[in-house]
Amino acid sequence: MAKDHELARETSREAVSIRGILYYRLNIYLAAGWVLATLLTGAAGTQYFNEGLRGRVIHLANIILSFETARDQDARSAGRIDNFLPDRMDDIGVNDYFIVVIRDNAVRYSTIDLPSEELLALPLSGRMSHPATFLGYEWPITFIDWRLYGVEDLDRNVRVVVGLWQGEMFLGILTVTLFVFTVGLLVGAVSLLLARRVVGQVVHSLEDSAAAVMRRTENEMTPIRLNTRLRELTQIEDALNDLIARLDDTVRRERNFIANAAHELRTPLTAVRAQAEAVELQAVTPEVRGQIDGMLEATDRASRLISQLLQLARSEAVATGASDQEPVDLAAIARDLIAQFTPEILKDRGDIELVAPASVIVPGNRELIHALLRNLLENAVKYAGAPKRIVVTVDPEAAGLQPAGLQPDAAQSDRPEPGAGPAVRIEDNGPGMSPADFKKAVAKFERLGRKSGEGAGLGLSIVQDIAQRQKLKLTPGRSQSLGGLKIIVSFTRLSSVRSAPDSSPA
Amino acid sequence: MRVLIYEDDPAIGDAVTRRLQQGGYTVDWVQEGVALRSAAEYDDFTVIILDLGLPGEDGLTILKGLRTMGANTPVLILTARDSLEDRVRGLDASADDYLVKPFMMDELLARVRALARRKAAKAQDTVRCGDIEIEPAGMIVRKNGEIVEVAPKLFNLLLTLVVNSGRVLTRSELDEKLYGWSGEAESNTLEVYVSQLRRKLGADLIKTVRGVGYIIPREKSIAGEK
Repeated sequence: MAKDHELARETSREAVSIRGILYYRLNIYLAAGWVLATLLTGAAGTQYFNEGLRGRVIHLANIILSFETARDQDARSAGRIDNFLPDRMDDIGVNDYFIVVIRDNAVRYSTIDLPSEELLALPLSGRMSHPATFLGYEWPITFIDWRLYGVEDLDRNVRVVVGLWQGEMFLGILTVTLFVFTVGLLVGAVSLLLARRVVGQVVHSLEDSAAAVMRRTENEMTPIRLNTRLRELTQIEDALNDLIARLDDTVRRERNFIANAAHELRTPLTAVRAQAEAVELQAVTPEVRGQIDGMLEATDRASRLISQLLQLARSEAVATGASDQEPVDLAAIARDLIAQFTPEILKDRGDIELVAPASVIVPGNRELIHALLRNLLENAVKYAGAPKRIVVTVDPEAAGLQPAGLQPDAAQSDRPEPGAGPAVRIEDNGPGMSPADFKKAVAKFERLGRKSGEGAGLGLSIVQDIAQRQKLKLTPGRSQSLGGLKIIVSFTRLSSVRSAPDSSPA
Repeated sequence: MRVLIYEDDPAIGDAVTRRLQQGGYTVDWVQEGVALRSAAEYDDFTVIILDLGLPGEDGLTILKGLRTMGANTPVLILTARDSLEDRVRGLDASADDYLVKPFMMDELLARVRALARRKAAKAQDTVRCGDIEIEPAGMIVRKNGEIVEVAPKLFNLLLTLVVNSGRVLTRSELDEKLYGWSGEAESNTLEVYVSQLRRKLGADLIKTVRGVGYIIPREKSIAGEK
């Protein structure tokens, strides 16, 4: 069980968290999307920008060409162009493109300040570069690149060349790309944050659910409530509850089976016993009498085993549902049990004593604590010497109780450290038991080689089982005053312990 | 003394019947609820032994029915169920005693005897316990046939212990039953009374169970039973 738990923890340590995966992937995907968008925008932008510009420029060149060729037919309009063009260019004041109009091998019009021979040599397409002038100085290194678009009318010997500054295109594309880059970055960052939030919410409810399941104790068989509206989680919830219900059902059925079987066994056993006991002993031979005794002993053993099986079943039953926090009066239970065992002890002139205040209340399961103390006392009665001497002490936390007659150990070592809660000590004058033997005895069905023939050997393992379930501590030892076994049951887990004065009614 | 047994298991019913007859009781054994009811209604029994594990009619229901009819015969329940809860339920249904199967026949006889004594005490009949004989009506105590003078308070204590002989009576039980005290701090009145009884009737009669209470051990033999 503990190993499984360890294993589970080990795997969970190796497991990756959903949060981690989602964050990691989101980061990667968004970053990739962002880079891709930027690159695509850049590439597509270049393409469209180039084409669009080219189309417009050629259109412009054609228009100029047609105007220029129309000059002969309509002098007036041509004159208007002459007046108009330079003004427009000046108005625009742009220097990222130029227009050159060549007619009859003479530069008719130019918006770029270059020597005529260079202008006349301009091709109709391709590139041209010339040293940049800046602050009236010619920079030898920096060239200004132009892309040329030209049209010509060979009939009329007119040529129009438009140059576009390459930098203009580059800057345009750069601007667009940068814009996309920035917007992508912002959008990506925002969506990442939002996505992390959403992931956080989802994972949070997952974690809440895990916590809700973790909080479960082994004895809770009520349906789990995950408090979520997420369908995937409610599906898990349903599946878990289905499992719990089936588990509960199985456990319950198994337990009921044991209980019913044990109860059913009791009736035939009673019949055997009763018939054996109804035999008139005077009427039979000593041999038959011995056989009858053997039968009675066997039924005793069987019935003790049945009781113990029932106690085990009950102890496990408490795991599901039964109250674990009812007030239990240890002193009253001790009195009740001692009263039950007294006739048996008095039979061989034995002595049993209780040292206890009127009541010592602890929280726990009454049935189980009763069974635990009953088994311990039964054991003490069974194994005590002759005549039997037993002392039960209910100690409400380090109170200096002294028995009136038989002296139980008053040694300091008996008492748990102050504040450790109440304890019940059961001492007898039997042969005692070493701690190693005790350990063996609490294992199920171990009988320790004590061949009294009466013990089915489950008593101490039941005690151990209940102690574990009720979180009590068992300490075996040797009784200094009686010489036999001393078992201390410490109710250490208890937070609130009330002890009534000695005289109040139990 | 008549005992009515309600038990459907033939082996158990037969054995208990025989054993009780050996002990000098007249025994009526019924195996059905209807028979039980009519028997309990028309005849006077000292004790009724009721098996709870019977199929069909629930024994506790029958018991409640009997009590409603006004029958106050002491009832001893036999049951296979031994949890505290079951015990409480049985006693709540006004059973007088409770014996878990499988039981020892001697234990059954002792319980029957104790219940018979209780009934006798209630009916002011003579109650016997070993060599002690008590007449509740006249408040007379005899030991070996000789009258012993006992004060009323001691008499009640003795009668309670005798009626419940074989059972430990806790201090608080005795206090409440006898004197209606709910326990004064460090009261030693009970000890004083017990030691007075011991002086008059013998030191061995009443045993002290230290820290718990007092008990008159049950007699070893069933001889001398009426």
